Amino acid sequence: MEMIKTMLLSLLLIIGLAFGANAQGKLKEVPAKEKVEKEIKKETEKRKPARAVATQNEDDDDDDDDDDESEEAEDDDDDESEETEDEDDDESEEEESEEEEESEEEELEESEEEEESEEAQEEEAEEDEDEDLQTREKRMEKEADKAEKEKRKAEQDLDRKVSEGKQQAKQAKDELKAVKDELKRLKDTGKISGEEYGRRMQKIQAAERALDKLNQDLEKAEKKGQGSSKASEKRSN
Amino acid sequence: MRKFLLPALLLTMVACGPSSSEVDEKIKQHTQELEQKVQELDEATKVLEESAKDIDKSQAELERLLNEVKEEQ
Repeated sequence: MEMIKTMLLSLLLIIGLAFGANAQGKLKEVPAKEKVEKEIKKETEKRKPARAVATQNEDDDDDDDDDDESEEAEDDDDDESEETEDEDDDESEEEESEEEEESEEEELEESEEEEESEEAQEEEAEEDEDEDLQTREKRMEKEADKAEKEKRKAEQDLDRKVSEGKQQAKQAKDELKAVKDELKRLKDTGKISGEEYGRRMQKIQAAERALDKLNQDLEKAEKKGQGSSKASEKRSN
Repeated sequence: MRKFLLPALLLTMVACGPSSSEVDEKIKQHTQELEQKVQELDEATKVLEESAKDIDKSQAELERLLNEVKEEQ
């Protein structure tokens, strides 16, 4: 009973560790997102006062210009115009602040959308990589099969050629021997001159050399064929 | 007890199983082996084809010279 208890406890520990490791890996991703969001918020907050100050300065400048002009024109109308301008300024400030808030919200939404699209792109890229690996492996398997078939075909062709060549070589050897014998007989009987005999014999010797060359090629081909079949056996093992 | 042990064992096996990176590495290794195999097979095929060509040439030459000898006979 105690054994079972210890086993169970150890199993639970292993499972806990495994899931813990997995969860830790996932948790690492979460702070990264929060961090980015916080940074965006900080930036927007920083921009807020800066923009407000800038807009105020612009308004002040406008007011000053307007004031100067109005001072030069008519002093009596100044008070009234200033009052109305102040009212207009207040309204415009409110509108601007609303617009700013809206634009900030839009920026936030845009940044969030960008983040989402980036994440989606990363996921797609990972999936593509996996697919590429698997498709490449499958393609290589097909190519290997094709190469194996081509090699087998080349081996069969060579075997056929070697057997045909051997037959031809044997036939040529017999024919050349018969021609040689006939040539000697013709020379011995005096039907052909020594000069003619020599000329014909040179041609026979050239054919014999060609026969030797063929035999050498056949021997080499046999060796190569055996070597390649051994190599393919090794590969299959 | 058995009801609990079996899923626990299964979960342990899954947790201790190969990760995706290990699987990727194995696929890459297999692909490399296949590439090497294809290269070796192509080279072997080329050698066999060259031997067949040499035999063809020698056969043609022998046939030509043998015909010349036979014609003069």
